[in-house]
Amino acid sequence: MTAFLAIVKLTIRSAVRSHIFRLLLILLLLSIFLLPFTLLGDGTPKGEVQIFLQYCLGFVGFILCLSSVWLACSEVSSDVETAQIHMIVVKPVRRAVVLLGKYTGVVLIHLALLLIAAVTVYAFLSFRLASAEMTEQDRMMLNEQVLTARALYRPVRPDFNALAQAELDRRVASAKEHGQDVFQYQDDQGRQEAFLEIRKELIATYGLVSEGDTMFWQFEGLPEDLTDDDVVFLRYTIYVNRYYTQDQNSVRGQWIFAANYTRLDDVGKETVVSDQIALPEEDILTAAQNEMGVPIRNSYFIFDGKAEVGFLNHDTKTSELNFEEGRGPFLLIRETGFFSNYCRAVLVMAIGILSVTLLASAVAACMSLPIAIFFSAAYMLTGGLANYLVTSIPDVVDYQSEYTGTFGYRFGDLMLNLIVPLQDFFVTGHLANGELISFPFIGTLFAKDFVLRMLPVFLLGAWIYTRRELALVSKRG
Amino acid sequence: MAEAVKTAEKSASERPVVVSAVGLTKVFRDFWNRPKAKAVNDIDFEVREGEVVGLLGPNGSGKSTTVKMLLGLLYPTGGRLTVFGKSPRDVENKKLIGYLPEETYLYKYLTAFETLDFFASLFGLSKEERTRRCDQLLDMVGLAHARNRPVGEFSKGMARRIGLAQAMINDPAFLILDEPTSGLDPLGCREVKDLIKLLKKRGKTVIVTSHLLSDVEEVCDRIIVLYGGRIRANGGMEDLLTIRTNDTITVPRLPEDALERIRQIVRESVPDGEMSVAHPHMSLEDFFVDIVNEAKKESLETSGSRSGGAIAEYLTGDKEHDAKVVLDSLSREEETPAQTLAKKMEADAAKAAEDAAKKRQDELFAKLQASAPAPEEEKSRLEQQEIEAKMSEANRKLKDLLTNPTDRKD
Repeated sequence: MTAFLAIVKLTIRSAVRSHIFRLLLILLLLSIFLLPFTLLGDGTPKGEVQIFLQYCLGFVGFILCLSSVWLACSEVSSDVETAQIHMIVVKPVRRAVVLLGKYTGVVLIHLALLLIAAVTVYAFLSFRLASAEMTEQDRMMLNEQVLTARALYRPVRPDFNALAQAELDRRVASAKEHGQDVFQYQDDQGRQEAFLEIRKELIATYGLVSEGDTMFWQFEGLPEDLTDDDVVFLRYTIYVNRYYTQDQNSVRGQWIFAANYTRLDDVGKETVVSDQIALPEEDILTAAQNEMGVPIRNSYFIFDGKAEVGFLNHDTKTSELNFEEGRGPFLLIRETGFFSNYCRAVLVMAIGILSVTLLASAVAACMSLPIAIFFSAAYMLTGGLANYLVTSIPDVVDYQSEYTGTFGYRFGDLMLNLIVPLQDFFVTGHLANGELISFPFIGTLFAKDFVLRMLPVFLLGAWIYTRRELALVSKRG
Repeated sequence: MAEAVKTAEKSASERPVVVSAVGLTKVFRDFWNRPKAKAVNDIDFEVREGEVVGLLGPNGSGKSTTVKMLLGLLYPTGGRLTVFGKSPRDVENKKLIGYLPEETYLYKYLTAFETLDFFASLFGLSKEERTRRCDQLLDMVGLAHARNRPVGEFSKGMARRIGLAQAMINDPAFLILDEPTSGLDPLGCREVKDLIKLLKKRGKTVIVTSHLLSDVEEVCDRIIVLYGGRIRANGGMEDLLTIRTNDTITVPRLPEDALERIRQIVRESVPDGEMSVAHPHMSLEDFFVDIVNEAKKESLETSGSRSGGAIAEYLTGDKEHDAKVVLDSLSREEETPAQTLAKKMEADAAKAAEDAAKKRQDELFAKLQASAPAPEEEKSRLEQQEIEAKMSEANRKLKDLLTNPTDRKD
């Protein structure tokens, strides 16, 4: 244990006294204190705070990840190259302990920096909020939509298989009824092809609302113990037609909320009454994230853990409006306070530091310094690229579509199963949107990224490190 | 008593084997695993407990490769290599080993004390013990005044001293010193050699590699000469270096008539043999050490390392001290009662022999002083010139040495 602690201490000393580390520290301070003044939000206090949280904390995390990769590679690899490791491994200390000590040293110093940065950012934010002049409405909006932690509920996905099957049956029946030729549906292959085609159409048109049409979304698993004072938020983004930004403008529409309540009938028996409450028609900005509080009592809106929301397209200028699945509509319900959520975001960043340091240490244990840094950077970039390839495919990724067969998608999917995308650890977007970073999410991230994917890489690196002929590598020895 | 010494000497060949190499081979390979160079080629040797062995050879002869295999930094391609009966990679074994590499690879941002403290920590020593040993070692290697200076600022010689100190931090039973005197001034060289002699007295096993043959000759019991990865000579210093066809007699300065009588006896005994009579030379190192000691008496200051202080108390083993108790307990574990007795008898015998020699020397000196004529009368003008020339030559060499001490290596 004394040897392990000595190596940890040595690593920390080495870091503190290195020039590049000091440079990164300066960058860190700049990102906390100067970056917020270089960014402009949407001009509202809410936007300003969102930008501050998202970019400032995100940049801190990015700098710390880079720094931990560089330092871990440098500490492990350069020791071997300069033969300083010879002086250590000829002492009664296991090489695995040396590697673990160096890893721990790098992690500890970065966790300390993360803590300092997180406290500073929080204090700076509190100071700015206390000294900022804003209207009561702005402050309320800020508190309800940003400085909070709300669980996000997604609508239930339609069963596209069942819908496609039903549509197919309908078409066959209709063709028969009209005496049309149904030969293409007679054999299994023909039916399967028709089924897939219908399914593809359904997926492609999911979320499209034509003029005069109404689309409804069902939500399940909502908390039933809400009081009427709790605010349930509806978040949505509407696009005109597809995703082309040049088409975007303001459209007219109307939100409808299903309300269920019990009423005593004539014989004194309780019956459930289903009703719909429609908001007045309004102009809605497209391609922008909108949020509003659900304007009916929670006890009516959420019934048996379920709720239903609809949208009626009144826009005559455009052919159809599109609700992209990844952008709502969602329901958001407050779970805990901002401070708790902030701490969770910092915890996720800490897991990120633990993970990338694990990767860099493992790689540096087997390779020279430049190759180790290159490999680590390539790993992280590939993770980012894979994540982009998979998530940028339109529609939902787990529905089979024409895109899922492409090489890019397959490659991205394979990579995401093997490596950890760095974006996983940047949850400042959630924090800035007032979305809850739940403990199950953090636990899954830790288990999936750290334990299942990074730890095996580290163990492999440690195994190679303990078996390397260290004197072969030395540039000096 | 003399018999006891003989017994102790005899038992040297029966002491436990510390290093055993059988058919040891190391082949370096290229990226495609093709053999590139055979650095060590099927060598066999043993090093026994208490031996000081010199590993000699020109550059590329396989010395460093052998040393690195002994330390588990390189793995043998063939053959068998054991240290204390175990694989060189055995971690527990390393508690018994001290290593001074050819170049001292230190962490430049650590101070001298922090450096030693770090290496001591790797042996799991307590904080108090670490502090005590570090302070004593810093004093021993003459760097007590540079205790809190970063080692990155040190000269090569100072770094070498720190390297030596770290090799001694665990009071190792087996010490590997790769070019221990490289980069050191003559005073430092002398201290290192004294240290090796002390270690030998304490029954430690030492392997020394050096290009400075005089250093090796002075401290080693045995040498192994490597060339092209093979052993060319392996044996005791006495066996390998003694010229058995010649004799040398060293006596205090004799009067001319006595010398003439001796010449006469020699001519009668060896009529055809060549004979020379000359005054013995003092080595340049001895000469230098005398000068520096004189300077020290005059309290001249230097900014670099100072000549070492006393040997670290925990390494000396002749005073009752806490550190000694710890180390003695360690060495007790290694020694059998018979070995301990043999060592004690050897030490007693050595002390008795030393006393007797000193007594004889005193008697001879007294006699010589009584019989010898005044030196001024004896010295001829020619002799005076000869002495002056030698002094001048010695001073020139000394100046060269101080200007570029590393030249000695070559």
